[in-house]
Amino acid sequence: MINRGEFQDKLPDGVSLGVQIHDGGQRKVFEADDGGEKVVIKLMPEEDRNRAEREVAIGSTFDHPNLPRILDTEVFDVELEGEEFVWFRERFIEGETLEARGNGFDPCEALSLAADLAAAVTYLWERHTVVHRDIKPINIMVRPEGSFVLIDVGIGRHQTESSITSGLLGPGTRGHVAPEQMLPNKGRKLDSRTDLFLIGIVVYQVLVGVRPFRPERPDYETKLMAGEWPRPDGLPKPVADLLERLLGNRPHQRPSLAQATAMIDAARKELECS
Amino acid sequence: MFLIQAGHQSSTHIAEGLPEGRADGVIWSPGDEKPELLEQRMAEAAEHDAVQAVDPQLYVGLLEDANPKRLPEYELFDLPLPPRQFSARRLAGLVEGILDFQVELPSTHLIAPTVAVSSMTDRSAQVALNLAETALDLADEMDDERPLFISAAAERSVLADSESVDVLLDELTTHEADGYYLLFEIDPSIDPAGQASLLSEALYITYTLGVIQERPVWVGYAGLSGYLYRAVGAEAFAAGWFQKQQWFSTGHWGPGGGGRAPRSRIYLESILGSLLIDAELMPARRQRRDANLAVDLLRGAGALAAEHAEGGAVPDDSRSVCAAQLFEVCAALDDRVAGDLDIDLERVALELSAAADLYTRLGAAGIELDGRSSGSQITVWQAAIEEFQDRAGI
Repeated sequence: MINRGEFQDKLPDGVSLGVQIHDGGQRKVFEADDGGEKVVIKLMPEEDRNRAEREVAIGSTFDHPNLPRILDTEVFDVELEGEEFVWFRERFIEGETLEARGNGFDPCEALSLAADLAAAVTYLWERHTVVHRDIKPINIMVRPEGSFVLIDVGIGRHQTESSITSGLLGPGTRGHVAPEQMLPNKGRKLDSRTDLFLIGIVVYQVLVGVRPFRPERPDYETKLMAGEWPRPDGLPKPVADLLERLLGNRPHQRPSLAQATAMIDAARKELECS
Repeated sequence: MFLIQAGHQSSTHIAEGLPEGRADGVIWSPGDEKPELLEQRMAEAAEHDAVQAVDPQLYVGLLEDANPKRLPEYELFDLPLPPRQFSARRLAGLVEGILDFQVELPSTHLIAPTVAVSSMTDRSAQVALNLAETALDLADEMDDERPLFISAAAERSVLADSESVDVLLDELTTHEADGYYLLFEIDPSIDPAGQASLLSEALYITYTLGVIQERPVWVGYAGLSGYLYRAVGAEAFAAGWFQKQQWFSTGHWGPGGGGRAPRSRIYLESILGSLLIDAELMPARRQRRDANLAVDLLRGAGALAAEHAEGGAVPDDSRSVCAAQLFEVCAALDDRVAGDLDIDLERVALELSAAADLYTRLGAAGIELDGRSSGSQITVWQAAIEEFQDRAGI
């Protein structure tokens, strides 16, 4: 438990802590008012300093509608009840998480989600050589006007970092991982195509209501590694084709970022999505 | 596109291909051409609007006891190449020198250097991938608009293991290359029974890069099997007149090099293969058991085939005439490809079946065929296509 009063007392003047919007154990996310601007404050234990610093280093440069801008350029230390923490501010995104929004998307809504996520992933990869690695409904915000923002970039890794291939399943979430994330010790590098696979899982989920690979089932890993997932009936062909490519078992079977974007655009056009 | 694979001897019968419009271009072999002549020959080829690129043949540098032929005259890299040359510090200089050399030539495409990959878990794979990555980085900095093709040379040990092929493809597709120049070691004289599996993996690589990733793919040293590569998405295949230009092998660079001169052969579109002119085609023309056999065999592309079909007693079977016949058959096969995977595979299947019938008729007519004429490639290709379709899920 964090003592909110103690944290508030140690924040700079003009920053007023609001409601807690996420509780990930030691990792907390608060709404806050910063001199009249609504912001998000992320608080992490000292052990997560590297992750926080990475998130700030990357996120403070973001200038993209589908990614959150970090407002600080460094992390701040704070001691709460004798324990060391770090914190930083991020621009507040109005709306709700995709998890809260739920499934039941129509094909055009799903393609809009795919387009926004692909744009975010393209920006992360082409500008920062970063793979997000944990694209899932709770890490996607739905703005009131319907656009999507990919959040929690802190667990993303620069492709050349040596630790990138070590120690899955963290980061990554069971049910929302690509096959290559399950083989951390085989020297496989992750790249943007891993994120495309994860986008495929989310798009499938919002359309079908369940994930293509069901983590609650005993054969989950076997099916994931073999690339066996149920093809849903009734999807328009361009959407089914897109899922087929995004959920390619091996990275080489998936599209490039440019191809994925082109496929999504073509599908939206074919389905006459607005 | 059909490209002439230069090699074995200086400007091997290229004169029979380009001026007559039988080939779309040439992949040059520095190992077989004097440096001062290469530029001249390329300039001549450019007059025919030829597509042309130089295979830098860096893979020769890692071979033990290789006969590098004329490669040392280019001073592009040490022969043999010391392993330290592949250190991160020296690699960029090595690749830059090889690309700069190509930039100065009238190439239409640049080819990144590579080494032959024997296993995806050993050093050869890492070196090959570093070479590709370095070339792409350098190309970004170069003020040259010509496409840079990444090259990959897969030895049979890689092709024999589908997991290795998957890893190779995962790596090759990491970067968005302008295209790929692929070399597959599928030596028909080694393990004939295993040929189909090797070829199916090579087809799968071609299909993945050409169709799935939508990149131009050129397959070098393809021989007539280039028709299959074209059917599964290759933009071009290359073949040359000599045996060593029909399939890739680092063994071609072994000590002694030369190889034996080929006997006069006629390549025929009808059988997707070749026959010895004196010992096989002429007896087939003379036999009486199957009246239409010769006509059916000789149906298709090529001036030499036409001369035989017209009943010429002993048409000129000089190497240049035979080479021209090969080029015409390759060009005809290339023209058959519609660019639609389903249509092309269906057509190839029908043509293989028709070719198999002709081989059966040759046997029934009492024509004895030597190893290279036996038609064994037909069953290998049929099996390879079936395996490929299973592998690719099509």
